Amino acid sequence: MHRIHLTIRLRLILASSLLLLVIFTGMTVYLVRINTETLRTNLQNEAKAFAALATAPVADSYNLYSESGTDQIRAAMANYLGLSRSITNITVVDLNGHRLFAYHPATSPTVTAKQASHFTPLYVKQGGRLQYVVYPYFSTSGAHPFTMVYSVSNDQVDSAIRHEVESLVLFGILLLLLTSGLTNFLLDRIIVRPVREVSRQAKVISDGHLEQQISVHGQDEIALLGQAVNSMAESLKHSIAQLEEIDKVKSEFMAITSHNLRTPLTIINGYLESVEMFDTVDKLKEMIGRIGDSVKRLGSFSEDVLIISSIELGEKMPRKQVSANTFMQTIIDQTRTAAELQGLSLVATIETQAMVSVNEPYLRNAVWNLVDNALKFTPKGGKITITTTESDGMVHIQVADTGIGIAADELSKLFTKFHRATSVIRYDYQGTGIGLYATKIIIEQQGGNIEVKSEEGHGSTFTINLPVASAAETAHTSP
Amino acid sequence: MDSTAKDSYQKILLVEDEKFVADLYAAVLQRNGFVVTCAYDGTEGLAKAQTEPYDLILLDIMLPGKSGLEVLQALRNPTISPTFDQSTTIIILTNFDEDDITKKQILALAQAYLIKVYITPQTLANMLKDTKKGEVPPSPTPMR
Repeated sequence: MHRIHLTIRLRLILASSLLLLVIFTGMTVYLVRINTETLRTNLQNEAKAFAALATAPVADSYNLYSESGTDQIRAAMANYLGLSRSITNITVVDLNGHRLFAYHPATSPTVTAKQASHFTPLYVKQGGRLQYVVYPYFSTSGAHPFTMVYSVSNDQVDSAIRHEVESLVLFGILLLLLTSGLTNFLLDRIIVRPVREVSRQAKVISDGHLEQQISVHGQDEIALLGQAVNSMAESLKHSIAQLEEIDKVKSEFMAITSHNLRTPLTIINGYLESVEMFDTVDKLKEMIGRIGDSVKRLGSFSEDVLIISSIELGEKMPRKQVSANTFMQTIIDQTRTAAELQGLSLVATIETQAMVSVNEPYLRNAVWNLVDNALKFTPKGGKITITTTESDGMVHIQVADTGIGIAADELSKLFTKFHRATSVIRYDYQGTGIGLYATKIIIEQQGGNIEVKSEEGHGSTFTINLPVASAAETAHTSP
Repeated sequence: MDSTAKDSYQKILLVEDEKFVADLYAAVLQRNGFVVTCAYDGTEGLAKAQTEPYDLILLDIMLPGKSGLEVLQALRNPTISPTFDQSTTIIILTNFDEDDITKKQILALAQAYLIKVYITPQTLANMLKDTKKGEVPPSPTPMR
């Protein structure tokens, strides 16, 4: 993490420095060129002015002392040369270009006859640089006896340009240092520090403190990054909670399933082990009855578990057209026998001829779970009412009892797999059950739904609503 | 009762909500010489344990009223149960498999955690007959 952050910073500084260097170099080249141009023009003007001013006095000295003393001519020339740093030598030539006199004979330029005899001043350049000025001398009478040649030094221009470049480069380096320092500072303030803060907090989150929130300021990219990490942590928290919930439900399912399988087995084992205790026919009958009940409990619980598993695994249940009337008649016949045995009255009506498209064994299991509960929870002398009606394309199978009823706060949890409070082990009334859950998912699998109304102490009413099989389905399955 | 009766378990409180199971265990234990009192829910079980001394309490987990864990916690808290003899052995006898954390919590307060389906009434009676009071009978099944 540390290395990446340095690299980003370095990269940005390098990029900004490079950009600045390119801009600055371009600017320097441009400035130097403009200045060179100005300096050269100035030099030329200076040389021109010098020539114009110096020619007459130098020529006068030359005329005066040409016969007698060159020392006086040199003195006059030295006097004038001292006035200008750009003129380094003065040469006097005749109109054929032959040298008559030179202040520095060694460096005197060679002038052609054409140049020497020219009427107007000539500015002789070489490689764009002014080398010398050829300036004709005219006496007061208008005669043109000789010409002056002024050697021009470009040293001054060169050193001026060198000086300018040097100061520009120095300035550039300073600017570069300043800019990268400033870039570094701004990067640190604007990007590096906030990113480091986000990554510090993200580290806290990744250490398992999912409740940690990254503080988000403003709307920029770093704020977006913070928000993204926050929402990632949030969805992780959610997924973990979901997984924990699934895990909890799974272990409860296992615990209660094994409990429900073990309890009847405990009874069967216990009675069989102590069979000699039951030494009369009545005692033996009672024992066999209890073993029978336990076997039945095991059977129906296993059946429920198998149904739930197969539905939850997504297995398809083959369906066929079933007459609601015929189907319910069978259930009612079975219920009547059981109700009579328990001293309960049964009222049953069927008011439909509709067909339903269902898996018959599963639907039987679902309806029987409701009837079985009614039988189990209705005390002697109570009444069970089973009605089968049809309205709005639905068949309604209603099982009502005058039993113990269900508490209001239990109702909502009734159809969950196991309605057991977490952490503290709570006891549910008999049928800690998955029966109603099995019923619910069976009915939903067949395209229907289940409702319950109950009042504690006054009984419960369960209603299964199943869609009537459509005419097309009926026609399709009819022979 | 034989001569070892004095230092072996005698008075047993059985807290079990399933009446068939309770009656069966009580009958077999009584035939083996133990004195058994039954309680059919957690509240009744707690009240009986608090008012009368027992050598051993057999406690189910899934109970109406108060759960087995609640009964256990109440009994092992001297402020809540000042009259309860803390040297009393409590054995969990259940068909309910708790998760490891809860089981650990339970075993800090109870002396054993037995699964009913493996401990038939006669097996339990045999185990207890060979065990001295205050000791935990060796379990024929691994205590999971």
